[in-house]
Amino acid sequence: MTNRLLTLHLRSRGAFTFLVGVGVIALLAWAAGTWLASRPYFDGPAARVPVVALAPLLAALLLGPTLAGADEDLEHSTPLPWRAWRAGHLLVAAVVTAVALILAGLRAPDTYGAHALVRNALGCIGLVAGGAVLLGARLAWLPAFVYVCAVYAAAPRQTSVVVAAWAWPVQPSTITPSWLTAATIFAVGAAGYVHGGSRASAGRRARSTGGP
Amino acid sequence: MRRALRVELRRGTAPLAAAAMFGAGVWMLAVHPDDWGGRWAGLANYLRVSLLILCALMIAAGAWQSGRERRRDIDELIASTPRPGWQPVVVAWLAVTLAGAVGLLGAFAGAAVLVARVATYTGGGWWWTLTVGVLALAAAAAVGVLVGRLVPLRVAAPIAGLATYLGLAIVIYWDGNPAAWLSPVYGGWAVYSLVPDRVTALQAAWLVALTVLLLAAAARQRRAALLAGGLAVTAAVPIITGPGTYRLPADPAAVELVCTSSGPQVCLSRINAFLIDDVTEVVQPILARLDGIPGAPRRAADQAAQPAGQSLESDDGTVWLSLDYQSTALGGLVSRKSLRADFRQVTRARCEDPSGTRRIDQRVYRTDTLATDWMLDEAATPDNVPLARLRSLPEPAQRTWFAAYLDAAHRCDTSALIRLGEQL
Repeated sequence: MTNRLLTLHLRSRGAFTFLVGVGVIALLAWAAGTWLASRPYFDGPAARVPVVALAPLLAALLLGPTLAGADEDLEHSTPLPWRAWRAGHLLVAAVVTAVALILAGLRAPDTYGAHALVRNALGCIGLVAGGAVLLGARLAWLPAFVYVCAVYAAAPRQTSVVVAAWAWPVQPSTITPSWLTAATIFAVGAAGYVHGGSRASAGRRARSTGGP
Repeated sequence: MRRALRVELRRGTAPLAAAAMFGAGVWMLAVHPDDWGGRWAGLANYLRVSLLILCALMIAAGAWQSGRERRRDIDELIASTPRPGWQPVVVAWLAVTLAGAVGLLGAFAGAAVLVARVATYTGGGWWWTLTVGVLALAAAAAVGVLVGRLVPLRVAAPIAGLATYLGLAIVIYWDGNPAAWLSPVYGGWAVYSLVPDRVTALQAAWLVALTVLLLAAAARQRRAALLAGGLAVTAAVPIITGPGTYRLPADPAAVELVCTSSGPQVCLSRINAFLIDDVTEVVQPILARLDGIPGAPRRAADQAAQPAGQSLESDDGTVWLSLDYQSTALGGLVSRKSLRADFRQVTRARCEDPSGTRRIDQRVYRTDTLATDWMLDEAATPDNVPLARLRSLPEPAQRTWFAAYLDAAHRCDTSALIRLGEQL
C-alpha cells in the first residue's frame, strides 16, 4: 500500500522532472567548474564561485514546484500523516541534491567545491521551502532567486563576520558563520514547511473562504 | 488597448517588476559607489554593468507575466476573444518594460542627484549609453515574454533569468571579441573610455530589431518576425565584423588636466576634478617634503591622463595617482591611505629583469620601506629604530640620504641600497 502511495506521490509531484533536472545541473556544474578551474587566467579551483552560487540555486528552484500537489486542500483532507510525508519529501530531496552536487565538486572540495555546494544547497532549499510556506509552491522560487542573485551580483569586497553571515552563498566553505546561516535557513524553512505545508493557491483560498 | 495597459500596469506583474528593479538598482548602486560616484559617465556605464543582473530580472518578470494566462488556465478563453493575437503580447511586454524601466530609472535618478552635486564633466556621450541600457531592458522583457509563451514550466521565469545571467556573464569574458558588443552589458572598463558612436548606434538598432523579432515570434506573426530578423542580422553583422571591445580609447575631453594654482602642482583629469581639493590636501604635503630633492617628482597627476603605453615609473617628475575607484557616493575621497600608497612608485627600486619579475634582497626591501616611511612622514613605531635615527639627523642630511636612496633605487644599485639601509 505504502509503495503504491509513494509512487503516486512521486508522480503527482513531478519527482521525475526534478531528478532529471538535478542530474543535468550536476553535470553542467561539473563541466563549468572544470572549465573555470582550468583557465590559466583565473585562480584555479577558486574560480568556481559562479558554479557554487548558481548550481544549488537552480536545483532548489526545480524543487519548488514539487512542494505542493495539484490541490493542497484536497490532499490535506486525506487521512495521511502529512507532516511525516512532507518531512520525508524535503529531506530526501535535500539529500539527493546534495549528493549530486557533491559529485560535481569533488575536485579540491574545500576551495569552492563540494563543501560550499552542500552549504549552498542547504541554504537555497531552506529558502525555497520557506518561500513555499509564505507564497505557495508557484512562487516558492522567488526569495531564493532574488536573494542569491543579489548577493552574487554584489558580493562586498571586504569580509567580516556580518558579511560572512549574510553573503553566505559566496563565502569559502571554511567560514563558519556562512554555515551557521545556511543551516539556520534550512532548519527554519524546513520546519515551516513540515509544519504547515505549502500555502494553497490564491484561487482556492478565495473559494474556501467564500470570497469572489 | 490603453485601458488594457492601465489594468496590466496596476494588476499584472508590472508593480512587482518595478519594485524588483528599483530594489535591484538601489542595491547595485549601494554596493559599488566607487564605480559611479561624482561622474556622469561612470553612472551610465554602471547601469550597463548592472544590466548583467537587471536583464535577468526583466526576463524573469516578462516570463512570469506572459505565462499567467496558462497558469490561470484562461489561454483558450483569451484566444477566443475577437482581438488581434499580438495585442495581449504587446500589452504584457509594454507593461513589464515600462514598470521595470521606471523602477530602475527611479533608483538611478537618486544617484543622479548625488552625481549632479559634484560632477565636473558632463560630456562623453553618457546619455546614449543610458538610452541603449533602457532599450536592453525592453529587449530582455521581450525575451521573457517569448519564454513565458513557449515554455509551460512553472519555474520557466527564474531559470530563463539565470540562463541569461550565465550567458551574459560568459560574454564578458570574451574580452576583445567584437561579438561581445551584441551584449548590452559593459565589462566594467574605465569611466573615461570612449565607446565609439558607431557601436552605440548599431547596438541600439540591434536591440530594437531583436525586441520586435521576439515579440513577433511570441505573437506568431511570421511576416513581422522575418522582417525584424532581417533587420537584426543587418545590425549585427557590422558589429561582429567591426573592432572589438579591447583597449577603448580615452575620451580626450574627459582626461584633460585640471591643475591647482598654488603650492606643488596637483593635476587631475576633468572627469575626476571634483576630487581635487581632497587629493590636494593629501598629496601636497608629500610633494612639499620632496621639493628640491634631485630625482624626486615635482608634481602629481591623474593616471587617467597618462600617455598611453607609458610606464608608471618613467622618470618624468610626475607621480601618477590612481583615482578610478576613489570616489564615494557623495563625491569625497574613498581612501587617503591608498592615495598615499600611490607614492610608492617614487621609492620603488627599479630591479625588474626584462621579463618583468622582481627579485629583491630582504635588506633592499627594508631600505625601501624606510625610504617610503620617511617620504610619507609615517608615524614611527617604537621598535622602528632606523626611521627614528633617520629623523634625528639634521634636515639637510635627511634629504641628502633620500636623494642618495632615489639615485640608487632608480639604478637598482643593490649594494648601495643595502649600505644606505645599514648606515642608520
